[in-house]
Amino acid sequence: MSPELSLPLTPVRAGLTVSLCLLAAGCMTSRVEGLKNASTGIDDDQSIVIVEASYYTGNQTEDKFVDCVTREVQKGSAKLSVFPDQAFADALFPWFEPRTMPQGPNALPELMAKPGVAERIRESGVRYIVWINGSTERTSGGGSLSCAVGPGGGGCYGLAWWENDSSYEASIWDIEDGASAGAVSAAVRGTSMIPALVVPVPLIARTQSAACKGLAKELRNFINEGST
Amino acid sequence: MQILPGHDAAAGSYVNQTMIIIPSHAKTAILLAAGLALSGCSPSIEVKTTFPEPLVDALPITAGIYYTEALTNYTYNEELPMDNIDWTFSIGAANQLLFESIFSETFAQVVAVDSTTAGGVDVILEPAIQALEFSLPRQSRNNQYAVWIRYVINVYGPDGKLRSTVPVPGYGEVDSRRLKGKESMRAATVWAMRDAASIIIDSLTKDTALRRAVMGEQNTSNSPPGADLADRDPIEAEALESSPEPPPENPAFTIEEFISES
Repeated sequence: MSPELSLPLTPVRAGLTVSLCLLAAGCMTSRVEGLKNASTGIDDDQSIVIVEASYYTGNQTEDKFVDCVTREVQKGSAKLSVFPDQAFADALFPWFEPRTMPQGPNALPELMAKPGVAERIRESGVRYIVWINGSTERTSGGGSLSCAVGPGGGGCYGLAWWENDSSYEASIWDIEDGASAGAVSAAVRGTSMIPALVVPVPLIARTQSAACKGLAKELRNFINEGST
Repeated sequence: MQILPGHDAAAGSYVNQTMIIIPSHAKTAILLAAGLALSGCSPSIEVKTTFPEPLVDALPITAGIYYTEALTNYTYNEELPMDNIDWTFSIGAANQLLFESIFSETFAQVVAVDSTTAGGVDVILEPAIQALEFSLPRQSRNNQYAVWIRYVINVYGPDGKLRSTVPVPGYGEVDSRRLKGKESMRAATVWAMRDAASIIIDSLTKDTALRRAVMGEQNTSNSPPGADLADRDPIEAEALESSPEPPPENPAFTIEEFISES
């Protein structure tokens, strides 16, 4: 008979599972918030466009974060229809280029007054412009990890860790009202580590992914709130 | 190729040493292959794209556009210091497409002319490139591939008199984590060209030096080319000042960064 580890108590087994999951995901704290200036809602034939704030404003949002939010808001029961950002910029050329795009909701009337812009936006079905700002930064790190390889094999020893801070904000402009509808934000801080005793075990805190999912969920709720 | 046994005189016996003799034609082939492999390290950026039709009201004039060979065959080559990699930008054909796209919508009528003097037009525009610069993520110490293009628009009256020379900067950057190397640089080049287009179109819709020169409202024929640089109006000044600075010529970087970038 082969030896077998049995955990008869369900709470113990559940606790161990949760601990392992938490450990494997690294340690993270997150805060997702929304600030609403006006009532929202979206019809079935309407869509949103998600764009990263211009690099002329010093914004350095990672493209993959914008891609992630775009993907995530199109999931679930309250999913939103997203108009492709590049097609939107092409349709409004040259008024939605990084240099010429409106820098605040008060510039929306000026944009809409440009020849053909209002018609193009109406044709696209875009109701909200969502501006993504923010980035993921490594705030601290430390420890040491060394690896060696010899004729008899190899291995690593030590502990390395680092802390990432993902902080993003999505500002929502209502094109119909020509004003800001509000903003949602996600801030996720997490510590990743790689303990190694012969074999390194990476425990990565995926702060950017968590911020993306948190922001996308909040964005879906924010925009759908007044929809019937 | 022949493999011959070697003789170890010191040991006084034959050993399994081998000597490789390569015929001369094989040497040539190897050198050629090495050359081809090395040329793979010299990225060539060729922009083949169309540009969107601009949303703008046309000015009620007929414009002649003079496309010089320098513009339509424009190629820029630069060997980056320290890494012996040649970057080549071929944007001549795209230049012509860009300006055709801009001017076909900004003027009521457009004709291509073959000199700076022509009849039957109200104005002649001669677009040109003054400079192109670029930077890699390791140079600017961020994740961006960036391209700067400095265009100028020479504006002539139908009599061939130079009315004005207006500088138009274009800047584009692309996150290196979305596209890799050459593709990021190509995309940044397209963004720089679109950026320049947005400045030209915006300038033509406002009371700017470019619009005044195009409409013949300001006679600057006595001014040498570039004289109105000192007297440029807010949109152009803002455009010039807001373009991020090109990188230093010999940026310092560590060998680790070079390896990770490569």
